[in-house]
Amino acid sequence: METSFHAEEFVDSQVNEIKSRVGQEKAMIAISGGVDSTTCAAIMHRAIGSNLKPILIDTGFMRLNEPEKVRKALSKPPLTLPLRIVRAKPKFMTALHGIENAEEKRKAFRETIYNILGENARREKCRYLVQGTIAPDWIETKGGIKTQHNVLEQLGIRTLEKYGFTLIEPLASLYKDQVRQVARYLNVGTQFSERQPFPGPGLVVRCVGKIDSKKLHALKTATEIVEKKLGDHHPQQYFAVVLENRFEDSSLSKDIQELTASSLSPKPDEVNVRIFRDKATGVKGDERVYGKVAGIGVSKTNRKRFGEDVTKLVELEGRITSTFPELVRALYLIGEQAKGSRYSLVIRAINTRDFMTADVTPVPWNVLNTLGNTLLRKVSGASSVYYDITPKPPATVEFE
Amino acid sequence: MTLVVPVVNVRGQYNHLIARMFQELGAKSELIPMETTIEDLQRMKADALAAGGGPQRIREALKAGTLGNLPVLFKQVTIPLLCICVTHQLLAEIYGGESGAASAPEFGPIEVTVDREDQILSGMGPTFIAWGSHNDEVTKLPPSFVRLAHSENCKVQAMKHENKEVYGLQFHPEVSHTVNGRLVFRNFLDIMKR
Repeated sequence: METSFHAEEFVDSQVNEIKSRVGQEKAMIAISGGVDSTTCAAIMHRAIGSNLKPILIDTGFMRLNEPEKVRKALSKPPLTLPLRIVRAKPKFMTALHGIENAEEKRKAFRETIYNILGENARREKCRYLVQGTIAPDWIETKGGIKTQHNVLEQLGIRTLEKYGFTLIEPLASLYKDQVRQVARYLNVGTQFSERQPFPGPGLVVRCVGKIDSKKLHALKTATEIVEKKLGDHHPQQYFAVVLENRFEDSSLSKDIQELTASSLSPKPDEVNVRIFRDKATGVKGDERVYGKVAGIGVSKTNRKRFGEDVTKLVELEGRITSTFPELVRALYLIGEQAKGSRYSLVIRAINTRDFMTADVTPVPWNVLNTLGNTLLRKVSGASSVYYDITPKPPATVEFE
Repeated sequence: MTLVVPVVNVRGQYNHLIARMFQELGAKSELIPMETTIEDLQRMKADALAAGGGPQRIREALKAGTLGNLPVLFKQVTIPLLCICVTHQLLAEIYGGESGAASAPEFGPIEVTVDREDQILSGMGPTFIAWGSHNDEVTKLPPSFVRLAHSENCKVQAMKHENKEVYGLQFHPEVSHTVNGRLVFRNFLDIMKR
């Protein structure tokens, strides 16, 4: 009676449908190097062969040297796809300049990338644009949780009139775990099929608030360190985030301080709570909440004791976000230093099957502690390092 | 014989996961709009009906009439009905109970205590970890319903009509983090096969 998802049937039916839809026309595919777009490319290539034109837009918000790494990996068997890279960093920096609001940042990113894709599709005479949109993308966008960059038709945006192409989204009904099954079936290689997800707008949504080149550089350095050190602990996704050390001066921090002190046991001798001015995206009862982030610090001598029990910290977070509707995230202080006053860094590591819900990975304290020290030493401008103790819901996986 | 179980799309984050769950258990399941009528269901040859969560505050939505045909449909159906989160609250309202703001909203992991397994929670007791995401809750159980489960902060986590196959769940059995949530759907399909 129980049937799971059949990758082979799925691929066969998609290939047939694409063949009859596209015929002898050319199609451009937007590649990011992630599992969704790569799997999409493999299906499309099976259906229309060399009429598929893969393109990667270098937004400047990818990881260090990522575009080149993706081009190299794609050029090898079994994929053997020629990837064209379009350099567009200045265009994105201009489009995002001075924007603080998360949704406005996401929309500015979306407009910029589709204008570039439209231009390139016209130039290469591609009637179709293929993208790796999956179920959570349109569910979150239509539900008003956040604007995913790759959702257009589901919002009623007419791509042919606006950008000059017709969209093809072969994976739109699938979740991440099903995409991975398809990727394994198509033999795209484990570096793609098992790759940890990276958001479409890339580091834009992890560089919380306004973006500038110094802040982005700090984030890129932190990203490299966190990805290198946390991989061994096998969270499904793990990354770094940068927030500015600008704090709200309100009675809220005192209220959360009291709740924390009364919730943790044995009672910590000192609790210090900071409310960041930068906001983050959350989802409470199927509603978007663009809310506050609390950084919870206990005295240095107590840090390890509470840091070792992540389940208890998540319970504390549950109490905080339940009691204070405007709160969407709680962070636990791992380490801090006097120098470098501009940034707080956050480590996020989660376990999830399908990205609709996510729990916090219980990374051992000694790993977090060492990682925190490394980040403080190597990321210029960083004063504090926190561990994100918020599941989805009430937070989303990414900060914005 | 393949069972047909449409899922009403109430615009919540996990509605599509409910359909995925039924599909994985061998049923035919797809999302249908809130405007669906009883005649539409008969035309689909639906064996049961399920409905998910959404961003609505049920009392306000009922007043504003923004729930399509759902309030009428829920009363009309004679096939088994499974309502999750916001539609669990809607069930309470239309059967004479009440819903309203939760004193302590639940987001993420919660421990659910089973008061009575019935068929729907068979094998889930005595307690299980489920995930919730709700601002409102059932504040007064409707007279014709019995409570099946609760949690520390929510009195009615699960309920059942005394003499109809009509079920309401506040927690989300369709998300992968609810431990053994799939069993709830298997139980629901088993009820149909009886």
